[in-house]
Amino acid sequence: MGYRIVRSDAIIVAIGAFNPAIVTPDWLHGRGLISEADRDHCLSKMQALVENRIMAFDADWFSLRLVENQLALSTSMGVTPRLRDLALGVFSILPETPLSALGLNFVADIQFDTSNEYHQFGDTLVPKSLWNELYPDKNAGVASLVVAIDSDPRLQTPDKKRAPHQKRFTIQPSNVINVNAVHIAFNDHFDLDKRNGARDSLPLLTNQWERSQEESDRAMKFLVERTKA
Amino acid sequence: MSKGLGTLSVYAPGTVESILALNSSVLRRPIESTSKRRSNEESDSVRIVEPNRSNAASIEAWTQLASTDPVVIPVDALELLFEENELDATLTSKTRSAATRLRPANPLLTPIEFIASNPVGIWEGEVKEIDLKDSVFTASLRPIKGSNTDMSGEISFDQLNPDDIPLVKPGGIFYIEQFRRTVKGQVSFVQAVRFRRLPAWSDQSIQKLEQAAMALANSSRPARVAS
Repeated sequence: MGYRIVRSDAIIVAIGAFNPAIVTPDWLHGRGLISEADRDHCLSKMQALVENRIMAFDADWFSLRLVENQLALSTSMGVTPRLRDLALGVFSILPETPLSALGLNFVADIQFDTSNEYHQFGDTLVPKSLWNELYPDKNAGVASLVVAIDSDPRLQTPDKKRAPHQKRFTIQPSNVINVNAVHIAFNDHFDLDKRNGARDSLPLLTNQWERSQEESDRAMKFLVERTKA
Repeated sequence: MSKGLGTLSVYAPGTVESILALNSSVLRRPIESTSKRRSNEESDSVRIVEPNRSNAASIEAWTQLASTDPVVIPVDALELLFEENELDATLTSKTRSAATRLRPANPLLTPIEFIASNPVGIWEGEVKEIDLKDSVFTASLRPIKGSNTDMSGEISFDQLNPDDIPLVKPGGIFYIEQFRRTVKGQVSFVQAVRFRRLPAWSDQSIQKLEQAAMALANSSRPARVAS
């Protein structure tokens, strides 16, 4: 089976009580977290400030999106540990910011050599025999598949509460590459105790980042190669 | 209407109001209500500006901007408002990376030159000794991606961004990211050296962080870092 990873990126998402008006390019530069060139790039590119509820800007290697209580830092030139450092810097400067959750996300768009391999990938993850029986004269395909990995029994309870540490894979057709390509996203989710501010995120970022990245790489490779035609 | 594809239409100014009206159904607090408060005689339209250095040069300027212009949205950023509202989730989806999709696959792409957007190799380096006379420093390198071999070597200041030169100190951490470059079909590799940027931490803070990281490594729950 032939395939290639066309692009991969990382996104760090934190849920908490942020002040979007504060987290500006100048603020990041003033705290030594980004270079002057990055700051100028951010200021010259798209920005948004909507009644202190939205902040958005891009450097050439990362993007920042702060929408109400959700902060998302993402790479735009491939996964780099500099993104983790940026998040570490922000949260160590704002240690009192109540954070309720942190997500380490790794995404990739993978293109298969042939359409057969592309369809085999989807058919292995979601066998189509049931759907073909239900709709014999139609085509069934995977539009979006989310798989949660969790050892916590709470996931199975009627209240469907999310476990404090949960992994999720989301698999969809790629909309970056139009032909024979899939988008795989790995979400390593950690609930945090708001009372501890942002402090709990620091050891997570320090210790968990590379582990999550390695797990994501390993899992994506496994899924793609395991579904060989 | 597809949310993902719909984000592209923000480039057409005439569609802005309809996008916001549509989006109000997915935002917890619709942005259009903010617009209404601005002025009774104005419509729900959102003013679109092209931010520049002068109106965003400082925190104060941004704060001022927010107080005088409750709704300031550059066109490119409107895609944010169009995403599905999952504000209590750390899960990302391809709709969440809409901004990335709006850019070309690689900003360095030209008809004859392509530099892959994903680094094929990453090393974490630590500055050991600095030779100011020859403008070089020696460093140890630990592979993060693409290699399994620890290395050491000498790096010239010429390879650094001017912004990074003040960060060259013994113990300073940097990354070397290697990208595949294709020019007229010929493959070569280019490298970028970037220094780690963190706020100044005391030795005590670093020690606490390392202890917390160790505790985390031995448990499945996040450890607390004492303040």
